[in-house]
Amino acid sequence: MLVDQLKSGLDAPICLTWELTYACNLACIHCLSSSGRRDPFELSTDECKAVIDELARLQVFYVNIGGGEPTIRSDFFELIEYCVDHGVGVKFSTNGSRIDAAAAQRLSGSNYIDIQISLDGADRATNDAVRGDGSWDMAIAAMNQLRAANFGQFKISVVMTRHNIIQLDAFEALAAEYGAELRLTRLRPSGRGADTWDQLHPTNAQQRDLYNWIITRPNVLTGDSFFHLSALGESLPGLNLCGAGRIVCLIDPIGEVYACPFVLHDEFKAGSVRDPGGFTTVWRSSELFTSLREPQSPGACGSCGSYDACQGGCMAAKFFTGLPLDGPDPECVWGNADDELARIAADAAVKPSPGFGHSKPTPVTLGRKSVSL
Amino acid sequence: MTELPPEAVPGDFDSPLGRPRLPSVAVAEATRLEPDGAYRLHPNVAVRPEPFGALVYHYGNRKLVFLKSPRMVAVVKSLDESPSVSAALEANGVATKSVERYLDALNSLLASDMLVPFVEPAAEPADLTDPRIKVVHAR
Repeated sequence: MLVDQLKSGLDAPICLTWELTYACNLACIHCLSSSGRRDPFELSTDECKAVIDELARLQVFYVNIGGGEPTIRSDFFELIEYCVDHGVGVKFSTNGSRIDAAAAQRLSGSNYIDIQISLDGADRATNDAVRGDGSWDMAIAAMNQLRAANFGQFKISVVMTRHNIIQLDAFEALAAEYGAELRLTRLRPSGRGADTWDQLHPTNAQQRDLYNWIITRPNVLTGDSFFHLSALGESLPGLNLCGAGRIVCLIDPIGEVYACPFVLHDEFKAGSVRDPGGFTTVWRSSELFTSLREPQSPGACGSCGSYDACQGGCMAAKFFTGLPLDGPDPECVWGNADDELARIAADAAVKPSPGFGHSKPTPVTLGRKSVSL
Repeated sequence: MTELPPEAVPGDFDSPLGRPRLPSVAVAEATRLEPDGAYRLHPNVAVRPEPFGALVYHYGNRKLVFLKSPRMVAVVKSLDESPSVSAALEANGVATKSVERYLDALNSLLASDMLVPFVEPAAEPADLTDPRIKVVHAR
């Protein structure tokens, strides 16, 4: 079976996520990478180019560049153009703040660059509640610039929350208005998302609505991120398996390699591109990735008839909610994790710490002035 | 090893659509592969060997296809030097009873623009706006 072969790993990832910087001008409350401040040990331009050379040798078809806000790096264009020149396609995620007329023009010059504008509400209020004041205007301005520059089809990328699932039709209309593709992804309890997941993650009824909506729209992209919903019936498009360390991985701004974009935590760190042997050795022989490619036990899910469809769900979602990795996903559509989640809620010590982050110091409001401590 | 047709995978590996601004080579009426016809891999397509067979990626339309057996990979690669699809199948020892399955698989590669009909080079200079002669690494 192809799926079994994919589970035992590929010679190189199909694609990987590369967070270029932890610096960000926003402070989204669900940020997977707890971004805000630039890390002083960020990979230099030359180090990034050496990584790209390696990805080209491995025939990694494309990289998903993110951050932080990747366009903040002064060498951003230099790096993405270096990727394209070396046969590594680029898809990057941005909040849009740096996509002015000149940038839109420059990006339109390449057929091998895809852009994802992040938008987490179909209106300003819903979006800005998650992404911060001004973020809606920022994204819409960028979309207007891309349209004016005749960039072609870009993607609007939405993290599905309790507050925006009711806006699916509005997102679809917004994408249509711009000739854009709509891409929906799953909210993970990772990074700052660990603190907000309880309030933001969709209800089970909403998950059903989402599944029914997606299943009738083959052109809506999901990044294979809702495979836990395949338990509801027909499989969603995609491979429907956890690709962590098997077909995808993540490189963080300081070159550390993690199993996937949702597990920036020491437990899932496989090595560094700065180690001898570079990325290739981490991918092919790190202890962590080797173990992820071994057959995984279905554990408590083994007796559930849906296991073949949902594969027990997302490793990162389980880990950060304190659930065992060989049991149900916290958003198991049959509610099989509910008892365990209730037990964990009563015992805060069970949950792992989200790990270090690069969040900016929390602004504390003193009177009417905001002061950073 | 069981030989199965390739399988296109949408999702984050990634877009089933790509950016339509990049024109794809027209395969409109000719989606049915002619066993006697000659075909070539689209120049924007890369084939990456893997233990199970190969991954085939189209840099233009962003489609990804799995070739799930080494023989299927050999067939696809040999199309470039073959006068016809049938010749490529024969050269790689595809059994008569399996020919239909291989044709179906190759047909889905044609439908996703991974394969293009081979056209004898014309005497006049190449049309540089033709997407078929765009080099993968060009910007």
